[in-house]
Amino acid sequence: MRKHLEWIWLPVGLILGLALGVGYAWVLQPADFRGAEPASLQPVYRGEYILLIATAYQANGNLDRARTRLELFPELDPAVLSSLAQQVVAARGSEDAARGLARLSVALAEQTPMPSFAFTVTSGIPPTARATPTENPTLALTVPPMPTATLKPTQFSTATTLPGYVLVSREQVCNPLITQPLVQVLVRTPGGKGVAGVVIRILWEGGGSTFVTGMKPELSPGYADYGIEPGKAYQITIGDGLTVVRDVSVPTCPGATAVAGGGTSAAFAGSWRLVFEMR
Amino acid sequence: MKRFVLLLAGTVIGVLAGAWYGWSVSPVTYNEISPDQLRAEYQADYVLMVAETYAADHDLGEAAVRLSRLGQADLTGLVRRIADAYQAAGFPEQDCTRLYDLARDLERFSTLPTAAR
Repeated sequence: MRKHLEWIWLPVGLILGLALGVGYAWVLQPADFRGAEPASLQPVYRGEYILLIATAYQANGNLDRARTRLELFPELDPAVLSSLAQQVVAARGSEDAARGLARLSVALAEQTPMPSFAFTVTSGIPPTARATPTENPTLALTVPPMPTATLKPTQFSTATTLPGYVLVSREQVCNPLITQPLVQVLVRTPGGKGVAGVVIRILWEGGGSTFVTGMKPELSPGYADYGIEPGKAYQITIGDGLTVVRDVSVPTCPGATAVAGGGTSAAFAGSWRLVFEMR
Repeated sequence: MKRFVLLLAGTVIGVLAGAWYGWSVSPVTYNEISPDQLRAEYQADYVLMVAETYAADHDLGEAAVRLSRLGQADLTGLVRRIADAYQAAGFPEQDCTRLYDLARDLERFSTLPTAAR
């Protein structure tokens, strides 16, 4: 019996040794660290890295390179990029980054099969497609404030030439399915192709904001919208700031237009659709 | 005596097994790192992205702030080293040019008198 008990020291030694060995390998002498991948960055740096990918893409237009860089972040799909672009705009971050993200989102979405929603100028936006952009709960991206430039010699500054735009259509939209009055903007080329990444400024008395086309690539690469409130007058400026649409306010739609099924209903708040064409 | 031998044998086997597990099966992973802990190739690509962006916006201050995330004091030297490495590795000429342009402008700025900055 006593002889049998002596063997207990072997597993005791094993457990002790395992603890020592694992502690040595994890704490004292970890496996050779030759650096980590960008996906392991702290959220603030990860956001900055992704914005840098977008600004680099905005600068060089190299989609293959941008895609390769984005593959380091498997959670990033076109919808998340769109959402991130909106976060950048909301945080008043770099316009180049927002444009780059929006353009990237559209470019990647064009290569990814996705459900298509017919967006036509004469029809209302399908309610399912008009949902607000999805927040991705798994993506803990922090949009960093753009770094404050402490070194900025003026001799290196170069003005960027932006394309001009012309307002080709301003239509009232009376669609009872659109419950939140909107300014819907569609920016297109003379050939009719939607243009992503165009920054639109909206101003009202006492406030202002910006939004970017391409946030909802499922509608059109050149589409963007912004919720407006009754009783306020808005001014929309696009691109280079030379194209301005003034006195945009929530229109009132007659109730009869709103009826589905033959009855009548009260007047309701409508939306505006502004179509711009690049010159 | 036998107890001691058994304990020692168990400990030696355990240490070896534990070290093998900690190094090979489940090595330490690093999360929440800063850019200076990125692998060298990603740091180089980071610098290239900064150079690409700088080629378009010509904002040297922003480029310098971004490069400073890599934790190196000599930004000009860092960019030039990567440009040399890219050139030696046969990367596209345009990439190398952008890197050299950024290095040149950083150097030009760093040699300006303080009052001129």
